[in-house]
Amino acid sequence: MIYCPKCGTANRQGSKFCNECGGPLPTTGLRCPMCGAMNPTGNLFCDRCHTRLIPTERVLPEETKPEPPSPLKGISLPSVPLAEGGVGEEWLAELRAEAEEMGPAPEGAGVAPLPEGEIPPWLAELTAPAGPVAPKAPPPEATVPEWLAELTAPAGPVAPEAPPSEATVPEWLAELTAPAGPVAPEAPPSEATVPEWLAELEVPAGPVAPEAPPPEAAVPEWLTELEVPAGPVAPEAPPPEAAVPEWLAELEVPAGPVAPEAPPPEAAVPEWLAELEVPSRSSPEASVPPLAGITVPPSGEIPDWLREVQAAPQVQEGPPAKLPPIALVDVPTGMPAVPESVPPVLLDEETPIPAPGEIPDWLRAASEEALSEFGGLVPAEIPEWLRALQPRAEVGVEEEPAETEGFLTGLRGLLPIGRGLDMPATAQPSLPRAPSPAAVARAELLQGLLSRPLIASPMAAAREVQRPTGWALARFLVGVILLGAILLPMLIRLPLFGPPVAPTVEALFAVVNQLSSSIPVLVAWEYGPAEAEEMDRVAGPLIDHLLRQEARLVVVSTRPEGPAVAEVLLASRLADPSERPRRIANLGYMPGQAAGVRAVLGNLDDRTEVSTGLPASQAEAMVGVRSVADVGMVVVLAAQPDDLRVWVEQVSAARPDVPIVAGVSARAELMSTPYLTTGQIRGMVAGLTGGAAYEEKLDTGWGREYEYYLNSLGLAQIAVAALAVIGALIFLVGGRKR
Amino acid sequence: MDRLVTRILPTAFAMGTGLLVLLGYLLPLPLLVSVRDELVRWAVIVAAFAFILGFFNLLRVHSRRARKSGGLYSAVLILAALVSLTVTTGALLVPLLRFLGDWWFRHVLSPLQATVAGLVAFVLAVAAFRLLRHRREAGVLVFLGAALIVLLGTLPLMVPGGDWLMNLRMWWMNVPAMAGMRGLLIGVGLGVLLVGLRVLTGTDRPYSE
Amino acid sequence: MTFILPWLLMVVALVALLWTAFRARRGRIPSTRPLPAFDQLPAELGHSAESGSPLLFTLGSGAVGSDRTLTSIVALETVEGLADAAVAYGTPPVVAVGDPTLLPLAEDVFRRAWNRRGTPERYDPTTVQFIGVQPTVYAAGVADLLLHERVHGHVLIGSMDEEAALVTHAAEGRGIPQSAAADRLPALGAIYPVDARLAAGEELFAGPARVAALPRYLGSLRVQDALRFLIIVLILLKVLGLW
Repeated sequence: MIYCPKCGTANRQGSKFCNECGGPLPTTGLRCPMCGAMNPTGNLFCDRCHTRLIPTERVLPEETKPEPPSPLKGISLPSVPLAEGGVGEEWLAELRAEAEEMGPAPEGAGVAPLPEGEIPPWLAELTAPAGPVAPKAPPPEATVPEWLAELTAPAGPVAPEAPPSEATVPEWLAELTAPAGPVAPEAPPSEATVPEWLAELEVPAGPVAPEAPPPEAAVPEWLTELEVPAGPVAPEAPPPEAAVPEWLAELEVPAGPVAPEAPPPEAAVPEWLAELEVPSRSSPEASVPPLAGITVPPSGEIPDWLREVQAAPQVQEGPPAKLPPIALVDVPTGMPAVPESVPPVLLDEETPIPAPGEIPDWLRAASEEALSEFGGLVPAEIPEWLRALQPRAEVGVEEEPAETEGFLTGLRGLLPIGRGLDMPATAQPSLPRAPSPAAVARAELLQGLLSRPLIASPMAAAREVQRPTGWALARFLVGVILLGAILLPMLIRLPLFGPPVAPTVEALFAVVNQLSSSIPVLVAWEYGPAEAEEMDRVAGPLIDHLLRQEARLVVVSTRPEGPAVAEVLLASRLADPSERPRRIANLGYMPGQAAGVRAVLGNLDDRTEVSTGLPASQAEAMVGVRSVADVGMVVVLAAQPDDLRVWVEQVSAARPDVPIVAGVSARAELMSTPYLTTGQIRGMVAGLTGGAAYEEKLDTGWGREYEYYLNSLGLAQIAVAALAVIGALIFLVGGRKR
Repeated sequence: MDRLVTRILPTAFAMGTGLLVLLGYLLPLPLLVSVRDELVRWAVIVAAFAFILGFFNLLRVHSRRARKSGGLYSAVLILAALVSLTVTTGALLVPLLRFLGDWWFRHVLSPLQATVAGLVAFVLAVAAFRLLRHRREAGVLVFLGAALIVLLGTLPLMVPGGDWLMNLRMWWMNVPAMAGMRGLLIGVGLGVLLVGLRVLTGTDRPYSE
Repeated sequence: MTFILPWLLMVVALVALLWTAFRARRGRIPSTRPLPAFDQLPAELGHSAESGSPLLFTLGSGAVGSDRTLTSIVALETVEGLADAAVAYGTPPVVAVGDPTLLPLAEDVFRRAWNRRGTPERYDPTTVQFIGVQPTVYAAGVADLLLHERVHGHVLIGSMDEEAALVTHAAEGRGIPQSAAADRLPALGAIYPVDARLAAGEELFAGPARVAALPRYLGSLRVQDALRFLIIVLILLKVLGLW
């Protein structure tokens, strides 16, 4: 499986793009973001540092992320909208289904009453009584919606009030449609929780004075079609002036038994009331089924307050908002219960809803009292049924904690706690179960760094020296011993060593001895000033021997300082400087190493003689010499084995038959010996020991100098060996520095 | 276009020239040999030109360091570099100034290089003294033993067993040391071979993106 | 046979190299054994960024066009594997080269790294420093850098001989942690006694694979291991007289 590095989705092996987010999938491997190591595509963790390579949670693209529910603002209605396919919609769908099963009500016939057992109690209050209507028992106090609890019946005629702003009109109410005919009484509302929008409505304490006519811009359509009920309306306590929504203050709810009202003639039925009917099956967004129990006011009689409201310009409301979850019809048995968030519409069962156009008795009485006593202001009187709707503290209900910060401080119940905010039980921690020791060490280091006091230190110009223990003492000790070992043989003749032994010198000596007079010899001078102290003791006897054989030396070098070093030695070894032009031609430096060697082997003419500045073709020592094909022998003086190798390879390729001899440093002896054993070179002199042996064989008079050098070399080597043993013993006993 | 210039063209050129030179070594055709030799000469010229780049880089780096505190050595280096350049260039152009170049080389540059090389011996001796300070494995003992054999067996000691040490050293150099050296060289040779193939096939492109 | 065998080996190596690179691109990434000399480098780079002091890379005296060319190329590839992280941290290392032919290649590595980052103007021409052609001069110059400059760590990778002892000695004297990778005997003998994480011989060629972990490096390393075993088998067969 290949895991998408963006969203973590597992994809089939071989996929190039993620099936989920469409992002490109790694084909060669996953690079660890921490250590940079490449891992196979199926890895979840890095093989080297165990860093997680794939995100733990699937991160969907932005366009597929579901939008979080946005709280409705401005109105105290249930603020949690229904999620698609959520619990809340099920009851509504069921209600619609049920309503569809009931079929459309015949025009003018009203809604057939539902079976007694299937009507929710709260809806039973809303039925328009065909005959005497028994007073409805007030609903339990716990189920009284707050908005209704705050209602106050006006003492007298109530002046039309400003229509409620859009923020205060509940959406569910905006979409209410009254049934065409009398509706069956409904059961009192269930003990659902009171919605906030309803809770904010306060029950008026006294009669309510007639209110100012509503502004023209805020009159809802349905309100303009309301008709004052024909029957007397019992006076009720008017609601408090400050808390009653205007639209609700105009509602006339009878406080006691209400005389049956004659249904209005069909011609006088308001449109909104006529439209109150069972929603059709084909309309999934049908509005709430008609209210049961709403009485139709007698036709023709429109109260003054309503008349003025009707005169107000209609307010075109926007598209109706989504209905809050309100159970307006009885849920048949067997169907899922209404969720708790669904606030019921609570009305006193004993108080029928006045018919359109009919002023409820309580409203009429309140207005009369207000006009008579308070110059138009009628103190509100809370009817009993409304008083019964006052919310009581629920016992045993766990109060949600109030918000403690922000502009929502003090409010409760804003966010559902425990829904979706908890970690799913199946969530796995993203951290590896067992952190690696390296991770633990890093964490400890970080903790230690954080716990240190913050003290700024001045920037140092250079790194602080953290010399190892005994560093200076060791260097001093070694320096003294080495210096003593080197200088002592020069002061005291120490018979510590015998004559030098170099088996390879014999063969070299024999080869050089076979050279004929005036034969050109190509000398590759491959060492510089750093190796000159040793290599001059190696090359010196060999050059002496060649000069003794009357050979013409053609010197070349692939090192920039090679020709200069050669000049120094040649000048010291040539007995007669005047012989120089005839015996030696120094052709200088050839760049390119192997390429330069190959180039010069093919053509020696285009070079310049260093000491005279003449072209090589004009040098006396270069007579008859144009390329490596014209030389009798090649001598390689190399401090490094690579230089010897290059020359051997190039010369063997260009002229396999020309003999090659070498003078190498002691360091290069090991790697140069195979060339001797395989016959690629005819002879070799290596190191100071070989040079001393060659010098002894040649007897050129440099013997005393070699004796000094050999004694110093031998004693220094013994000193270094002793130092190595002493140091090993010291640190073996003393312990290792970690 | 940018990709063509920075990636495709350099890769094609490098691969092409590499293959041409390789074929010139493999197939002794006159045309290929002449192309190979010409390309090699071009490489030598480019390598020589690189010295100029290196010189200016040296001046740039040390001119910046000379302005900081403790930049005396950098200032001396710049001065010495300029003197060397002047002297050697003058020696080439004016034959009378050759002695100055020789003197500068023999009495300044060579002794300095020899001094630094001598320090290497001192440093190696210090390292031998502190050998067991950092490592405590079997290889360290073998290393120490080999060092003792080579150091003590180079010259014939005038002590009983001195010849035996010399023979031991000779055996050590010809057998174990040689074997280890060849094994190391084989491994290095394989690495060099594969890197070379990677460069020839364009898999590695140190010269471009 | 002596003439054919090297060419046969080269052909086999080429085919194996291409095949493993192809497989590595398809996701079959071979694993490599740990090499402390290289495995610590990314962490050292991070530590150098935290301390504000750069790492010092010593690439040796190998020249491009010499027999040390490919060793220097490998050393450069190791540095290149760290270049992107180094410029991202804002603490690019100091690279000391001993041959001017390596200078433009090394400069280009960091110039490209800054270009990829989108800030080519931040490239410092003194990131790569040419010290000197002679090996001892080069070693002395690098030792001077270690002794007198702010250096957090030292990485020696490239072609050097016994003069590497000067460099490692200077770093050890200042307590600077160091890693070393050498393919030459004198350098190994000089570095072994020093407190440094050492990669010897062919392990130097594993540097880019361990640092950059690109498929072509890992595949090449696998081929190298396979060829080594093949050569061992051939040697044994020859020694035993079976071939």
